Amino acid sequence: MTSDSSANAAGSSVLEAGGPSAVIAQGITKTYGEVTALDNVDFTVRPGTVHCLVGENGSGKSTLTKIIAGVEAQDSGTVSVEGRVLSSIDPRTAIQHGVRVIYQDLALFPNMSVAENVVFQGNRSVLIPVSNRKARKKASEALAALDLNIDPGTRLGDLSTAERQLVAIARTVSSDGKIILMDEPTASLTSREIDQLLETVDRLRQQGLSFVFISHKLREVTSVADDVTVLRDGQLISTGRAGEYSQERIAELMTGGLVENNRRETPAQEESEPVVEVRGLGLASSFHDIDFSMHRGRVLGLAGLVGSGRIEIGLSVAGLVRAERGTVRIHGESVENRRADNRLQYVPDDRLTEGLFLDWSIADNIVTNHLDGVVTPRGTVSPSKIGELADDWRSKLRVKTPDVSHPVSSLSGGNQQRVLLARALAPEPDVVILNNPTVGVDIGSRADIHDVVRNAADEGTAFLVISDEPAELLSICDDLVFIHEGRIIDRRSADSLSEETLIDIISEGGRS
Amino acid sequence: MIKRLLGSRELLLAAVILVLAIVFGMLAPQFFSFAHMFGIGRSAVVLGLLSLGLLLVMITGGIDVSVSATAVASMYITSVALLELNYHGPFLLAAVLAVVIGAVFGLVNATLVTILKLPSLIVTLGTLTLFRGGLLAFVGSDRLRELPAKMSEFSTAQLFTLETGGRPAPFHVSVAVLIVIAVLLAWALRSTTWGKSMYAVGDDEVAARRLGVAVTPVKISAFVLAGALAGLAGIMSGALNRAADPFTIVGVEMDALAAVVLGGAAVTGGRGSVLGTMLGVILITMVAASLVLVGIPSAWRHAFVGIFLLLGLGIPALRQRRIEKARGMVVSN
Repeated sequence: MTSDSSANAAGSSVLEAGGPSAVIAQGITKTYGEVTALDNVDFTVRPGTVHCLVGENGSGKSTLTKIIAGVEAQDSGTVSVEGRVLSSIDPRTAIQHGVRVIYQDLALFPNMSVAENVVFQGNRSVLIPVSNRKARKKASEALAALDLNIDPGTRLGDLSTAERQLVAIARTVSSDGKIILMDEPTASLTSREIDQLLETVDRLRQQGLSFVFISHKLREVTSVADDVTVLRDGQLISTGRAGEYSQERIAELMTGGLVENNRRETPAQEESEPVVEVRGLGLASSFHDIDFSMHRGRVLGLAGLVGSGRIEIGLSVAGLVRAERGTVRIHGESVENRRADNRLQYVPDDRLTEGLFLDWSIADNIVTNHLDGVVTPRGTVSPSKIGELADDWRSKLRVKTPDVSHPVSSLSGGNQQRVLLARALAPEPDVVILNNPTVGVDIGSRADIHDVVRNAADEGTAFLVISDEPAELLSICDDLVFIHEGRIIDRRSADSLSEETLIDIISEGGRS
Repeated sequence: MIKRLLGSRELLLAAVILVLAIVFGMLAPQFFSFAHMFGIGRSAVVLGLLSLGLLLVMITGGIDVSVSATAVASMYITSVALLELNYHGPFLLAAVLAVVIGAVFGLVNATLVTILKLPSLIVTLGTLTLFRGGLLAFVGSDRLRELPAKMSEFSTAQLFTLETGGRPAPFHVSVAVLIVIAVLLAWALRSTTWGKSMYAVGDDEVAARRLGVAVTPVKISAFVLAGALAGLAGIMSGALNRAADPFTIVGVEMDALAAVVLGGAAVTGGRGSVLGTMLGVILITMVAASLVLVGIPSAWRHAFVGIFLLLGLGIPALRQRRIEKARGMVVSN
């Protein structure tokens, strides 16, 4: 019931040598407002190969995936699959041509069972009978093929992040797709699960399937890729056979030789008196026995897989989620209501829904946390003081805008992130918690934001940084705490650590 | 499997119904008569049809509070038209006309929700008053007692009549109609690609769209079917009461909402079942029909519906919190 007859008919030619390329994207350009996400990019996937698409956050990888999948419409350029230009830009057409995608946010249905999720194919919505028994069987087979021990009857919403990721993979693999796009499929997987995934990819490649594989983890890239394409700031930087690329070369191409890993030179000495002291923090099965101290002028990073509990720990220290056990002391005193304490600031990763007031002006966004700084002696808020304060922060953080009275929604992602940082730093806090501070930010802004963090740290602010990107953690942190399944498994000083080792510790979950 | 069944909403509801039935039966012995049971069935028809329609919309993540207005408008327009035409044909044709009118009202809702992308609660609150007000303003506000003959005759169309203890217990055709429709919908939702798409759209619209689900047609189908079912509910109501009264079926959308939510549907979409909804309908109808029987003033009916609605929302919310806590997911506060 899931197979598509027209797609199957064309499937036999895939293995033939010299057959049409699995995917050809030509001259793809895509802009969002003022930001160019992709600039005249060409991209070709040979049949039966794994093509790794690499690039930093915001380089345009995900956008390219979405365009091939028909989810986003390009401004110009064409996509053809197996020699046929996609007639219309919509997901259904792409699916009919055998394109399957594992999205970063998985695109699963939490209220459906695992079996329904694995088997569900959206390309028909009319009254065609389906057999739930067969669906269950098919799902069980798909899960077994990936060596997964998940009951297909479980409600998907009751699974952990890693399990959901695996279900998303099972769905893609089981659905007769011919071209599979995987956007960061290993973000929440342990190294054992990653190995299993890579084995599956390899097996399916031998059966003639083609893959586009997006990953940050260069070792995965070099181990699985036949071809490599590097994107940077929406530009095609380099493309070719995987043999021509070493991990070092890919890293250099991704960053443009911009030495982004300039670590902090002279981190402040650990003082005897910590600014924040976390002791025995625990919440249900989310995290347990979390102990760490943050010191004046030092940047502490929380490293771990997606779903390891890092973010919950950050939220809990910030007072946004109440921990059940343990204490958080600021300057030695236990503070219960940390949310209302201006000495501690939290910067969320989702600036659009959790962070900024999009329709408000840049100035109003910056001062919301620091109204004390803009009141007149009579106790009213002074518009001119708001303007001054905002102008001050605009120049300090180099926010690119002619006027701070413009709405914050008129800014690019990188500049919005600066506004968010300005808001957190305006009340001169002692502690700032950053959750993925450079998500969806171009490389230039990213280096600037890192500078802002370093400078603020030099002036004495203590930072707690949660990031999915190993390079970012190494670039701005002094110390790292590794979280696996809600527990601290390791503590390291950042300057003795290579990116390789960091990734090893994260994905092996302390087994090494 | 058994554990899942025990934890299911349907079983919980069935247990509540059973306990209440025993209580009612102890207070009023005539509760456990076929006559009373079948009577409950007959009273449940209108609410049942409206609830099924609302269920469809709620599965897709929307809400339709205009079903009661759609029902009364379809019924009244059909009655007026048929009287005007001096119609003497079968009831079936009248029912078809009402269903078509209801579907058109559903299409109005669907258009506003899908094309203008307005929130369905606001749209249907608007059309609720619009349909009802427009009906009174343009079609009429008189209660019509003289319906076409076949329509009035339908009120006594019994499928069969049991004679127990000297008292006849008639089983009305409309109850069978409700059951057939419920079974068909249950099948379509559980075991067809359309049904799966309905749940998918309600569960995560973006994900559904990315998987190629034709989201807009699916949503339109839900609203149109809700309108059609409301049209059928309306004509049944008119026929069963042997009168076309533009002031009936007021506020029933709240009972329907309570029934659907009690039955396990989520206001956020992607969840809900026909069985659960029908159990919700039975619970509400049974309580409403039996209050007088056990000597509680019928004014209490609305209070009970309110309590049911809050329970229906509160229980799953508490359960979800517990699960999330146990799974270590962040419970935002």
